[in-house]
Amino acid sequence: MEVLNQHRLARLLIVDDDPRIHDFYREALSLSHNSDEAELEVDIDEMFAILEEDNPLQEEAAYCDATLANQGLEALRISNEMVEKGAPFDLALLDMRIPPGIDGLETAKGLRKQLPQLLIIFVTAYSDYRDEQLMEQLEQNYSMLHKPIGQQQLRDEISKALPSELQFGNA
Amino acid sequence: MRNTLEELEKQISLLERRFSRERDARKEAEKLLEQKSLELYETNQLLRMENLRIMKLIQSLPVAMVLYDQKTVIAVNPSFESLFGESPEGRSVAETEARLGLEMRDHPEYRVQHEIHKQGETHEEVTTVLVQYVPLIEHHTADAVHETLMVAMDISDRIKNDEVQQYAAFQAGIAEMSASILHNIGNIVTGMHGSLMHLGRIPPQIKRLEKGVSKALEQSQQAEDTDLVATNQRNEQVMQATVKILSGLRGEEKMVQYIDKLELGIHHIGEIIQLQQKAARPDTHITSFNFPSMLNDTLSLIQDRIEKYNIEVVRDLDPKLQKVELPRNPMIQMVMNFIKNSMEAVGERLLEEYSHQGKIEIITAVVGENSFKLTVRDNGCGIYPDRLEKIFVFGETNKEQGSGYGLHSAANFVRSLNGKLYAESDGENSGAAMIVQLPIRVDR
Repeated sequence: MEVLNQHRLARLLIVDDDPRIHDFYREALSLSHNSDEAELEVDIDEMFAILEEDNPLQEEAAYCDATLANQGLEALRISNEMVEKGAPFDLALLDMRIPPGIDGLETAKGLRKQLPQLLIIFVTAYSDYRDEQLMEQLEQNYSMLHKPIGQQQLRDEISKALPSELQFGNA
Repeated sequence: MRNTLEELEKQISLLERRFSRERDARKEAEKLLEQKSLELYETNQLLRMENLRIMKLIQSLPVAMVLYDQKTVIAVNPSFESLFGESPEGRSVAETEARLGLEMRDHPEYRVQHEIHKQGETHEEVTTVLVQYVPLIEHHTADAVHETLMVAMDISDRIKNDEVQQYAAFQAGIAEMSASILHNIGNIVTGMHGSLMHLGRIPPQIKRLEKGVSKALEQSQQAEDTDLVATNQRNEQVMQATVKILSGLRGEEKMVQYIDKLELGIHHIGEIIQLQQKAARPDTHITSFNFPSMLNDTLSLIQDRIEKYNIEVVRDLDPKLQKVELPRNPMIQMVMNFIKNSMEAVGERLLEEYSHQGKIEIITAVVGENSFKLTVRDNGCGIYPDRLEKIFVFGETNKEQGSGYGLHSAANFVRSLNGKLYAESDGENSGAAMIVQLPIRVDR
């Protein structure tokens, strides 16, 4: 466990134009919860402190470092900033249809120019591209997840894609 | 006597000269006659050869032909025989008309589409032919014999191709709609997962609260009488914390919001499915419907995309245009296609001009007694002048990912209703308009 903890938390870039999907990612990857929830957590902690008991359920830690973007160009800008900071993304989760502006595949191609080894997972309900077209443009290190997806499926897919030296969740 | 003899000789010589002249003239006439009859013979030969040539030509052409006068069928070519399955050569025109179920007219303007039914091995085969009549003499008198050439062309393949193209266009329309619907439903359901996950975290929190309160109860039951003040104080603190937690849980707007989101999601999916069910049938039946509400239905199918592009939709609808009698589903597909193209054109322009405010105008206007004009205009990337007409051609597209079916399908649909469809644009980044003129009512 100690050895695992030395691993760096995986850095994910998530691009989707739908705010509902952002909420989903926040929930599914236990990113940051809202202030109401944080306050509730403090109140519960306080109650157990009065009772001099341990809080039986601690909030789940975030599965990864994730940054959420709405558009392709925005994603490219953020990724560039991260590269300059010396903290490039390890994996990008991209929706295919993210109008207006460039679509998921164009975004992926742009990201790959910055980070040739970047892992890519397209998370989309409908792909405008055939498998051969994706293969031709991206060659390797990408996969496809079809919406609707559930929490476990998302976590499994990310965990499968990431190299073992990166930490994702508790594993 | 000498005088008489001289007179006689004179007369004889006169007669001889006359005779000689007449003989020359006769010879001349004979020669001319001979020449004329030769010419006549040659002309006749030429005519016969020409006739033979025409007959041979008719016989060899792959198009079905039959030559007839007012009474009799003069000649039939092999193509006719193989197309109609019989040769009426030599038969009377009346009998042939009855056998073929086809009028044999001599009017040049007359064109007719005719179906030939033949019993095949397993089922009846139907061939559709286009029949045209060509009178061989332009001006004929009533009593003269005049011949007509009837030409029949097999257009079954052409009709089949049209049908195939129309169906492909319909399917492409459906595929486009399905893509949009899949995208919508996929996002909604994934969003609902998020809401459910959030709601799913509430029961454990309540359970923890229950555990805390139970613990407080247990502690106060076990407390010694001497600790009463301290116990009361702690119980009060626990109750205060409980009230805070409970009000936090109740007051957590998000909980109600998430339930609302779930409800909205389910409702939205239901709506999308209903709209899709209505529009996905290849139903070209003419129905009576309200035009403005059809436009509303169509817009709601792609509302979310319009919002994402942040496009302003302006409706300028003629109040006189309400009830129409037209094929509703193809109408929805056509309008949807126009709007979708406009959105994409705006998106294209946004790539270059980030601050550009997209706008789509939907304008209707009643024109004349039974006709209206629908205009869908955008301020997107525009269309190059040389492409204004090409965009309606099957397989032609302005977009990298387009199929080229959409506008072709729209053009087919409009043509089938004897309407007009054209595009206007002042070129690059000047926006574009699709203008369609249709009858308000077409016969069912």
